[in-house]
Amino acid sequence: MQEAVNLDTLLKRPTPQDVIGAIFAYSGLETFPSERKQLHKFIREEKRGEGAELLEPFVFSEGVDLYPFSRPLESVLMQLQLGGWLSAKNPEYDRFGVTKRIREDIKKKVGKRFSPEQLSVLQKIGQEFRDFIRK
Amino acid sequence: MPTDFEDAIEDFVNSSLDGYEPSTPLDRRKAIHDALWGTITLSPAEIALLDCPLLQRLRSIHQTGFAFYVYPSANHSRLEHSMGVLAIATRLVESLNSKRGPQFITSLERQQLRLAALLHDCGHGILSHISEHFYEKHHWITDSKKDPKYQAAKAHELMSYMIVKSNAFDQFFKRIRERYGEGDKIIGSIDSAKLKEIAGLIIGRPPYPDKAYLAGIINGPFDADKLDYIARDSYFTGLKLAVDIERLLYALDVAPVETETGMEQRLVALASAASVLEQILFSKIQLYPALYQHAKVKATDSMLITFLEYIRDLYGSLSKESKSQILLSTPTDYLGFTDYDLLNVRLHKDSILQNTIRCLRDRQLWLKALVISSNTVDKNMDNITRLIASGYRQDTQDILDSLRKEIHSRIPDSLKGTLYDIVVDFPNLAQLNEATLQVVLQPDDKVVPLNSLFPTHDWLETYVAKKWKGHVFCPEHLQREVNKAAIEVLESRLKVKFNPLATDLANIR
Repeated sequence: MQEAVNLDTLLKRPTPQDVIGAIFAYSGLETFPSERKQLHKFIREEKRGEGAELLEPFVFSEGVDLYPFSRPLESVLMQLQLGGWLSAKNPEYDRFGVTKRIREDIKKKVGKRFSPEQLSVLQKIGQEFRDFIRK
Repeated sequence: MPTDFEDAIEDFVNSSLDGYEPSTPLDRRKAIHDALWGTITLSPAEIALLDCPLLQRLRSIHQTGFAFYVYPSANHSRLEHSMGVLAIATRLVESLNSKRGPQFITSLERQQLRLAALLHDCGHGILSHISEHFYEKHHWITDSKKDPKYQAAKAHELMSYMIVKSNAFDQFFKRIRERYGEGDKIIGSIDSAKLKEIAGLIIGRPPYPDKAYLAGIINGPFDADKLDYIARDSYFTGLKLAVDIERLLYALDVAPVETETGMEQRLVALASAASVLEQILFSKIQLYPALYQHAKVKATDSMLITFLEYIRDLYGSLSKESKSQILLSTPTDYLGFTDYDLLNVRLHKDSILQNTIRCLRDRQLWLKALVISSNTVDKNMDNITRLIASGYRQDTQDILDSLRKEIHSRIPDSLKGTLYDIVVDFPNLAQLNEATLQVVLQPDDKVVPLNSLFPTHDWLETYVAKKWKGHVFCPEHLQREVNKAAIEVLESRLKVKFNPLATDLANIR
């Protein structure tokens, strides 16, 4: 029985997939460019601000890659696609898409995994992501 | 780096090299015949290094673990691969020097690259990637990976880096320098600082910012390591994959590339060889479903992982005096043994270990009890994917272990066996950074990422994501019960819904 409680607790803990999924969902964007340099740059900038704690798993390389590159972030982008939270758009695969239905589904799910303070930070980062993309 | 990590590495290198004295005659060069690259010539100092126990143990570490149960000829070792990397690194150097001048890469740098190639895998533990599974969870590695300097390095690369930059290895290399340095001036000039540069090359860090291309030869988007392992793994498994290395060598060059910290001289391929870079990527991703994540290979890996877990838990709880010769508490423990030691039944008095060894020897491998993929899960696949490890986190493994315990608890007592008879395996997704990091020199001298010529990266990520399969594995006699219990546990805990294919694909006997 103790084991079951532990597992429940573990399953409720937010994962890196939840963090990035929530940012995309709260951005309200139906599609956005999948250009990696920009996506990595955005997450790294946010990590230096209020998002530091939530974005802690996304460690970026220094001095090895062409630009600060986070391998965990790349994994999450694939996980989001496999999990159906993100789609790459045919035929060019140069845009990611998150439909309204998926965005609502993500919000519903992550709402239970983050604290109200964390959700507020994620909403803010989501809006900043929208502004970043629209620039 | 945690200090106890550094201390353990010093101890390991000291004990490993204890009693070994470089003794190759000063005038003896050696020609080694490699199945892939033909004759590889080594200098006396290189032979002395190759002969040292740190590298010779790689002879008994299989390059692809126990994949030879699926591909019978996949018996190639890490030592062969290390020599292959030396051969390819040398050819990359020669290719660049033929274009840019005979000392564009100096003789000293060439020697450093050859030594880095020989040493780049010395941190691999027993069963290659199986040890990596344990490395990745240990706080020495997870703590180190939080440092951006080490973020891009794989766990075994960090181990190799730590070995080569250790004081113990420096002392050992001093003996090589003293013995061969007079006749081989280049070896004589590799002092402690130059040795540390060799260590840096292993994790992709160049000795100077204006020579980033040197690191790219050992650890980069199209490095000698990748070129050898793709060719070697496909050759020895019999999988037909093609990478036109001759074409790449012809089209290789160095060009200024803009990075965040300024312009860097990086390794680039001419646009005419972009298709070879694509071949590298395509070959790499095909090796995942066909070899590294082949269901039977993963079943065998799962057996071996639980075998090592059992050893770790069994002997870890014993007093120091009564501990077995095989203790697996820290990453350096995984360096102390070879694949053959592990399966030496005489080392293990425990009946469960003996039984596992017997099963491995007789190829009585575990079977699939459940197949988990986007084709077998009808609802909430995202609840599965959020448990795939991204980066170095303990949580994910804790969850998979808890799921395993719950599945085990539901097996009838008469069949139960032990917890070590079940594995819930959610493999990591293949990393495909190359397309965004490989650079191509266009005819107008503009340098662009490969991905800008064709969106290879996103295309391949979609491919890899859709090919992903998780499994629950167990011995044959538990297959039916584990299938039933796994469906119950995963459906109730992860709120997913499996379709009949999840069981059908497991071929329950």
